[in-house]
Amino acid sequence: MYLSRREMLRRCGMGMGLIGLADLVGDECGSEARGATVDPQNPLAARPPHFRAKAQRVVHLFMNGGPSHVDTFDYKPLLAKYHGQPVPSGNLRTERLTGGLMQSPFAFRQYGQCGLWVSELFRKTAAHIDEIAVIRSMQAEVPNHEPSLMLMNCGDGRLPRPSFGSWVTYGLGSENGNLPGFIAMCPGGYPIVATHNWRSSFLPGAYQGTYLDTQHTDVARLIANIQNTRLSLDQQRGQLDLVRKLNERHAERRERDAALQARIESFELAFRMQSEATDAFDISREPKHIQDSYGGDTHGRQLLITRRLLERGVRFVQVWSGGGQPWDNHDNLENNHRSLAQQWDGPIAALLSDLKQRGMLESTLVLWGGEFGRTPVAERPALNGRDHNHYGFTCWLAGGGVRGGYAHGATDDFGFQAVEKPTPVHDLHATMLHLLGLDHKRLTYRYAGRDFRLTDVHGNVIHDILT
Amino acid sequence: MFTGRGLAHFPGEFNEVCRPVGWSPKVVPGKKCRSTFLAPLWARERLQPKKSFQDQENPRRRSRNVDNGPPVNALEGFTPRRTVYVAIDRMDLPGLLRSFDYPDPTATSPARDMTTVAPQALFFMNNEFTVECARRLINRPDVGGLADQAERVDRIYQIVIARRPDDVELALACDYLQKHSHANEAERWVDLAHALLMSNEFLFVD
Repeated sequence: MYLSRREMLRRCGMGMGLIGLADLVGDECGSEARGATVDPQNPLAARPPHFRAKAQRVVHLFMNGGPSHVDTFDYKPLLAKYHGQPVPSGNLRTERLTGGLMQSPFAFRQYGQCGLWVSELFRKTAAHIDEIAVIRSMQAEVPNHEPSLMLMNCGDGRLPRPSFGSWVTYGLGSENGNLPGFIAMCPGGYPIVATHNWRSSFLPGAYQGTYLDTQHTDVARLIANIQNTRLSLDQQRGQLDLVRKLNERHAERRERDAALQARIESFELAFRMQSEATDAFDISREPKHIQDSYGGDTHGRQLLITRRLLERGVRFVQVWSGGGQPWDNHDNLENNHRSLAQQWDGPIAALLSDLKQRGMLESTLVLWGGEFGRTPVAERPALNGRDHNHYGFTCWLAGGGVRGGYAHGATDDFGFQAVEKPTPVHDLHATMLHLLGLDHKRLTYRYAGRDFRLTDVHGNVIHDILT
Repeated sequence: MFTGRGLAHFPGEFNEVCRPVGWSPKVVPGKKCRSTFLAPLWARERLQPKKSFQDQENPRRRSRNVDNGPPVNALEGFTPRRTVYVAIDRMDLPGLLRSFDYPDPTATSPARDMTTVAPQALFFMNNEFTVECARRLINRPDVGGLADQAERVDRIYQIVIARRPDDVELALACDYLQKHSHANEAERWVDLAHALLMSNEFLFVD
């Protein structure tokens, strides 16, 4: 990129605008240059990974509220035998009052060549089990939604840290400058702690998630200012041509300045973005059999949009179950989980098939999971739901260099706590970054006098899970 | 931040590599900034599009009109004051502030980043607010009352960028008004004023 002397002075001297400061003035800072170098005039420009990447993009299917692992991907036959009885080794401390063990109301069977057990709730998804690595030994830190959401999304339960999607977009940029690099979709309003889930925190604002309320289907309601209500595209082109001529004359009379040039280009980009975004969100352009495979409901629509976004080069798409915390089934778990899973199962299976058919699954990392799991013991007094469980829960990964048909780690006989190969969320993050070609120890950002990273001082890549 | 630069060269870390920019880092300038900002004289001065508030080291700053509250104060009908205090919902920051690099309110921020990204251009192009600014400008009696096309263009230039158009700019404007396909003549003027409000000369302060 061209840098005028003045521009150089402005950026270095003012401490503004220059992102990844440590790189350009590394010697002066006395620091080792390790952060990504980012052009403030084009912060989403694609950047090479640290090493050869298996995955190029991420989909995070966030089952907010905490899906029950013992009712989905972590089969515990002993629960039926001990139904209604206290945990033989003693109950672990739970957030609310809990009683005896509760058998799963759902039938499990083995799927695929690997023979992993999955409940009827995700039988369509389970048809892809040979592509899926189930991590059964996930652990969070506390049995509360807010800190666990922050831990899963930002790598820290308490302190205001950037989200995973922001780190990835900072590290790799985006492959499509006409669309946001990091998109968070949640139908019907925000999840708990709202925009904190996709915040950029101290990373530049360009890396924050762009939120879309996918209960809407009209693109004008999905992306702010994406359509002009007064002018046709031709009329607007005429207006922008005038602006361009004025800007070129303005720039001629001034020392060449990247900021002016960038603003000129941003209008061209915005003009193209109007058509491109409208196109990306218009799922009616898909062939009928594809639309049918996803189904016409909210999650089907969200995931079909997701695939169209990924195909266009968006780096990170996070898809939420819904506003609030739909999976938080303290009561009446059977009906609620059944209804939620029904909404998700078909669309997830369709997404995996669709990505696979397009040859995109091998370079797309799919993460499914919540902020924690649920207890094998029933919650009192209704005894038909489960409490929060951070001691052990399940997430699964598919695609992008993940070893399919593999179960990593294990919980105890009842699914209460991770006992084999316990996997902290930091390890999940480190592993996913690794698959994206990023070393979690080298992806840093200097802030408040030191380098920060997504995994802070933690994180081990789970090599067992890699192909 | 209001002065367009941080307290120090590396405002994120106050240590030995931190070199204060023109003032002692011991002096917390918050109070100073606040009193300066609230002073009626400063507010009036700032409203004049002259170059008295220029930062000498930094000759071309982006106009802060947009990111600090009710903008485009050269137009009548809008209160000619900036927002000094505004309530911020940390969980739900307005989209406008997000687009214009407002720092994440959950973390301390040593300096405001200044990105130039398409959502900012989309705001200028499509948001009703910018169109409304253009419309109010055209509806001013001292603009709308001018019958002569050239005089009207001249007046719009003076209001928006505080100078007269040169011959080429005048010709461009007249040409635009003639060729532009918007049927309604009044709307064409709105589109012209809107175009000027999107120009770099308006968006950046020399």
